[in-house]
Amino acid sequence: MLELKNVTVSFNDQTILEDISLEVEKGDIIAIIGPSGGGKSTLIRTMNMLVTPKSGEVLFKGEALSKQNINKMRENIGMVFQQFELFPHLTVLKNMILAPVKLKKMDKVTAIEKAKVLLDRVGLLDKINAYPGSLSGGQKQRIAIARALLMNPELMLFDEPTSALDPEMVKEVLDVIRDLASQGMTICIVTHMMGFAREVANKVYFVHDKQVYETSDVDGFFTNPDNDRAKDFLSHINPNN
Amino acid sequence: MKAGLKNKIVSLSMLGIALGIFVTLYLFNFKAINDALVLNFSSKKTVEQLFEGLLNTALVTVASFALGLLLGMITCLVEKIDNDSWWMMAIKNIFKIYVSVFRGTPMVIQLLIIYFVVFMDFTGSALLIAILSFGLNSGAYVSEIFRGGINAVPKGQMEASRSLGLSYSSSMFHVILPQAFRNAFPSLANEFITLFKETSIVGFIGAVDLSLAFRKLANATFDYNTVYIVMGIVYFLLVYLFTLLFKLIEKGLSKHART
Ligand SMILES: Nc1ncnc2c1ncn2[C@@H]1O[C@H](COP(=O)(O)OP(=O)(O)O)[C@@H](O)[C@H]1O
Ligand SMILES: [Mg+2]
Repeated sequence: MLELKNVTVSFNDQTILEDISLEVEKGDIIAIIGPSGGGKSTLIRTMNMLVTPKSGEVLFKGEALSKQNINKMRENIGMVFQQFELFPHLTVLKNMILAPVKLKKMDKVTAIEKAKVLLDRVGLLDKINAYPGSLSGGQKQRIAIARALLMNPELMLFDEPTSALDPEMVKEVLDVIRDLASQGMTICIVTHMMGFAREVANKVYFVHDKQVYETSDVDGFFTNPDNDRAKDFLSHINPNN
Repeated sequence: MKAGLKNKIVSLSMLGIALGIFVTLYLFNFKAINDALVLNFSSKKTVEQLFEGLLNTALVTVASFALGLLLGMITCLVEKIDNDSWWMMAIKNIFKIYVSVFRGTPMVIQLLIIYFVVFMDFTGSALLIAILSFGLNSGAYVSEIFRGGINAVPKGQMEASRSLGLSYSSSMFHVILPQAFRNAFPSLANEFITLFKETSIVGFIGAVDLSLAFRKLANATFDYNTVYIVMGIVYFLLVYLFTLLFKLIEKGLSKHART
């Protein structure tokens, strides 16, 4: 579904990812893990071209992303951020329907109907007219997910969706993602929640030293990785995560 | 006791004392003050002239503020255009020079040069030139205010909007600018008040604003004390009124600010 072909990313002449090739297939749940500053965000942001690679290509359903088609392509790639990034000047409903209505993906009435269904699904229908400022972190993130889903994307990208949350709110957000995974959504998620990653993922991307180490043996990766850096990384993180 | 409450008590009691002093002074000099006020301000013509001056001041302030908002917005957005063709570079530089020239020289000088040099042969209203000058001056400041307002919107907001498939300009218009405007509002209100006060120099090019109307009156009655003090009080009260008004609007705007 999404393919990176020989992608190299640099910031100010400093190479962050070097010659990466990988493919996300339909239905994949991919956990992107690795040490802080290793390039996980850079990798996931390259997938929808928030970061432009210095060389190489990103293909979505076989078509290379470019400046010309990027807006159209992003309609099918949802993204959820660590800091939620709800628009504070708009109500929950307006946050959700802004893009689909402006982009003429659906008319306003339909958008509102679908927004209600999604809000109900994330358990926040009663907040439909609230402003983001009055919501808790967990609620904001669930709305952010619902907002992305309203565009009816085929792929969802999550960059540490629970890292800015108080511990007691992590579960409600993970539950939504879990639910999404069980419905067959294709997902890439950067996370430090190793337990969650092991539970939902069918593939792991371990990002470090400009490279992405990929494996489909998720259990094996967490119990006895054949990658030394991964072994080192896993032994230094809190197993209760 | 809370510092805020304490401060309120102190400032209220000081206001009370000041009022008390004024009232006492007034009562003791009741007749003299009344006579002076009647002498200076009782004629219908005087009141009309002052009112006309006030209208001109309001006109120059509001019109040049509107022009400043427009120019400031354009200047700020031009700077953000992501295009490095020769043409665009040249245009961007023109705007840069515009901002630094108008921020780097005193308003009076700008007014004098625009009126006496640039529009030397212009025979129309001095008010029009005043509006143009103040508008140009204000635009240079407003562009920086808008820029600050836009920069204060977290970078993730643009990214979130773009991730939904919205274009750069759509994101700017629906997501960034509304927040930028709210961020910029206090500074914009400040700019309005500054303009209101600064327009008192339009007399230099012969436009009759509120302050010139007062000065003409003083020149006619020779009672400079009374007229100038009343002028000061009028300006202060008007600025105070604007401040209160803007505070109220600001309160309404910040209701849904980022938390
Ligand atoms: N926009 C940027 N400009 C310059 N350097 C950046 C930028 N984004 C990320 N980096 C750098 O790239 C490296 C990888 O960052 P990131 O992808 O955020 O890592 P991670 O998400 O794994 O913590 C870091 O050294 C970071 O400082
Ligand atoms: Mg990161």
